[in-house]
Amino acid sequence: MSDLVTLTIDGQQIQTAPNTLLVEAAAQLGILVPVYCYHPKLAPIGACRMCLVEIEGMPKLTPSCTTPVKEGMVVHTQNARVEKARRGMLEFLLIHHPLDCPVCDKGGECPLQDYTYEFGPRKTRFRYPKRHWDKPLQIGKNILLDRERCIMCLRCVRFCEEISDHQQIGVFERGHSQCIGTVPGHSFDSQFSGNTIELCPVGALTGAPTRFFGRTWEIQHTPSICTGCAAGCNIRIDHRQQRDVVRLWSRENKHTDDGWLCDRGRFGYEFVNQDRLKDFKILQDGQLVDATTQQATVKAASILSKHANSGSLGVLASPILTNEELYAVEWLTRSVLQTSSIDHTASAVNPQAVQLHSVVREAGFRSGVLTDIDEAAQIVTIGVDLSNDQPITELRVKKALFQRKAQLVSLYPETIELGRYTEHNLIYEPGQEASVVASLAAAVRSGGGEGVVGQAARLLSSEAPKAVIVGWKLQGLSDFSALAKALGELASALGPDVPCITIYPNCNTRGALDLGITPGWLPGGVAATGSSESGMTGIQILEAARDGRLKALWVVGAEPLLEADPELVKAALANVEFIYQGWSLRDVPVDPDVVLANVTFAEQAGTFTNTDGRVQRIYPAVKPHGRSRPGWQIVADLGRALGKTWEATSDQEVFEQIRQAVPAYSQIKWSEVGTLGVQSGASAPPAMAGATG
Amino acid sequence: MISEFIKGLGITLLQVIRKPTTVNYPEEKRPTVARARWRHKLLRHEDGLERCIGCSLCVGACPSHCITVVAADNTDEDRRSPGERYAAVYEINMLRCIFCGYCEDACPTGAIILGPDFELADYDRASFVYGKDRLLVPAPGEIARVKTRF
Repeated sequence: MSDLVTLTIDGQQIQTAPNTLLVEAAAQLGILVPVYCYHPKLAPIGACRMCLVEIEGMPKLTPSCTTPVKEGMVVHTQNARVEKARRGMLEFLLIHHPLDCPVCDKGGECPLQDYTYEFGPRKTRFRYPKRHWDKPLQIGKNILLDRERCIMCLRCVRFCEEISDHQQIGVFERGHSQCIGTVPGHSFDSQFSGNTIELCPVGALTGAPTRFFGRTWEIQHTPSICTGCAAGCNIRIDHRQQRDVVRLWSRENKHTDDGWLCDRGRFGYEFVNQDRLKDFKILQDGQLVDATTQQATVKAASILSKHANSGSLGVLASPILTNEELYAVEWLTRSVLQTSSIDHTASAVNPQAVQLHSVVREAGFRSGVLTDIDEAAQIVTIGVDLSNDQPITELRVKKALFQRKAQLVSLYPETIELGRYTEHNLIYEPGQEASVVASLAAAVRSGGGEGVVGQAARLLSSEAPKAVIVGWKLQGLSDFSALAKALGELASALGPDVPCITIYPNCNTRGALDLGITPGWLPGGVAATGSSESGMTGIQILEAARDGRLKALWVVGAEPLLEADPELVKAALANVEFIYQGWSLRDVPVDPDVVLANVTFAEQAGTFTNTDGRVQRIYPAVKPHGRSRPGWQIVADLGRALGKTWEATSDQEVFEQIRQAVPAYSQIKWSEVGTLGVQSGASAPPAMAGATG
Repeated sequence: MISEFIKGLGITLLQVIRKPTTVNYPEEKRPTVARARWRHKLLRHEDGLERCIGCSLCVGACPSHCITVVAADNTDEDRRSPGERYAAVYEINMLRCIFCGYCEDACPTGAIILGPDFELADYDRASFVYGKDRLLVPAPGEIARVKTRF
């Protein structure tokens, strides 16, 4: 214990690690030191002087956010001198502050309001006119800047420098005209710009899409999961009286998002509020008319039963449905309708590459989780552009690069955003993936070689901990077996126990794979045998529908339709009996015969499985629009209409069934999933899967 | 005993000649007290701009949760109030309102006041939700949109 430092804060002794900042040590004791510029994820700067404390033996007050603890320090955070300093600082900060709290989006959750109320002076002695600027200033697509409200804590600028490295905003001028602004000629269009709204301790940076969303004391918060990509970022849904979703906020989970949220996720909630299906509908005389739940269910069931067990039905289920919904769809399709043509995507995926996470495990990698990036000193990305494919993981990689000086090797057909930070950009012609990976593996084994590959190989042949990230774009390769072999060579060249993280496209693609929403695979990642073997893939389903080989389509969620050629989708849907289950008809080009109104993720309870297999729960935030219902309930009704009863009355009961069906989930206790999720047994011994298969 | 009869009848006769306390409402109306707190009004500035800035502080103060405010952005083409924000929706549910006047206290711009109009009876529930069309006083020169009842 000798490496701990002992000090006294407000008469309380504390032992803490060296280099802990005073403000953190005080927080450990539960002592509140007001801060604006300090943020645990940003480097200390000491800009706002709000956290001044008195240290015995020091002539002047000291900012506690930049001062590390020292042995024997005696600190006072609450005496008259400190309180006078706080009062003075707040008076300074408020000199030019417009005090327009009634119209400010931050009002109610604003530290400047709170601390002024708690520590501040009641009056200002400043008798001169306040500084005025045009406001609000739209500095980026999603960000509005109000320079009058700014207190120059520089959290936003530091975020853009230290975390995202999108240095689009900076500090301009000096003295009383000092302000935040964008780099001349550029706008603040970083895809992480929304985080500065959260970081801003005042209302200087506010969201343009969420402007005047309501007052903070009127909104309720519900924990949920972002559906933007497969990272599974934890979010907080802010809603007004369970009606509209007004804002998404980040919710820190070190396993997935590390406290940040990208703009695609943060502002991508409009589909919950707009163009929603409120009623079940049926097609009558070429017109979609509202129908009762019963009528629509019976009609859908009659279409399904007509084509059951005949190979003339295709099922497409969206990978942004919950595990519970997907499980229900899988149950109805395989067990009741005896159909094996079921898929979660309509993009071209090589059948060998569907279960990409299993493929890399078989190649010899360890199933990686996102936090493995935090341990790695060398990161290899193969066929993935994280800034498009999973922005939040890009931030995690950047953290490794900036804070721990990790090295990156990038294999991608073009220069990616992360390529700025490495010399090891292995750019190849699309289609050459296998040969590039194989040549890298060979070079690593021989300890070097010529050119970029050789340099990268020299780097990778060291003993440092490594992590490999592979992207779903590799799934589309026509010659996947060569790549699988090359990955195997790379795995053996890099050494044992190298984690490999698979990046999937959608928030529950991993769940869809685990639950058998893909032809040829049953729930639990078990290869299908016998009658259920020869299902069609998504693209084949659409082609067969267009060519008249399929007579009926059941589409749950429109996402697969968006991935295919629009002409093909239109021709396919017009040519079959079409049952659509979803939350909006916006992306459905052809009027379906039956429309079943499904709720979105914001209205139901359930689970999502993120890209590395972490099972996380969502909670109902808003009330279902109209008569829409959770998908598994609709499917249960369809099953009942088809004469098959499915015993489940709550999402928990459905999850219990999933646990029994999917070995990787068998260890997950519902009570433990909570708001932060549980890692599914991705690292479970393969023997387990084999035993069930 | 007879004196009691006369006493009682005397009181009755006194009431007959006394001026009645009731009035022939609604033909006749009694003046309300100066500080009567009844139906709300949303006021305007002298230049016709709305005083309400849609800040929802009245909603926060309201003990009976009868006010709904949805704010929107002022633009230069369509300016409703000074500053950035105005109330696109301002609704008071008069059935819930207890006329406590806290909204008036909370208002930072003096936009909402409770006035002397007390005749709020109506035939269906929906019409007790007063929107801006009924709450906002007419702009100078504008024909009254405030519906009068009876």
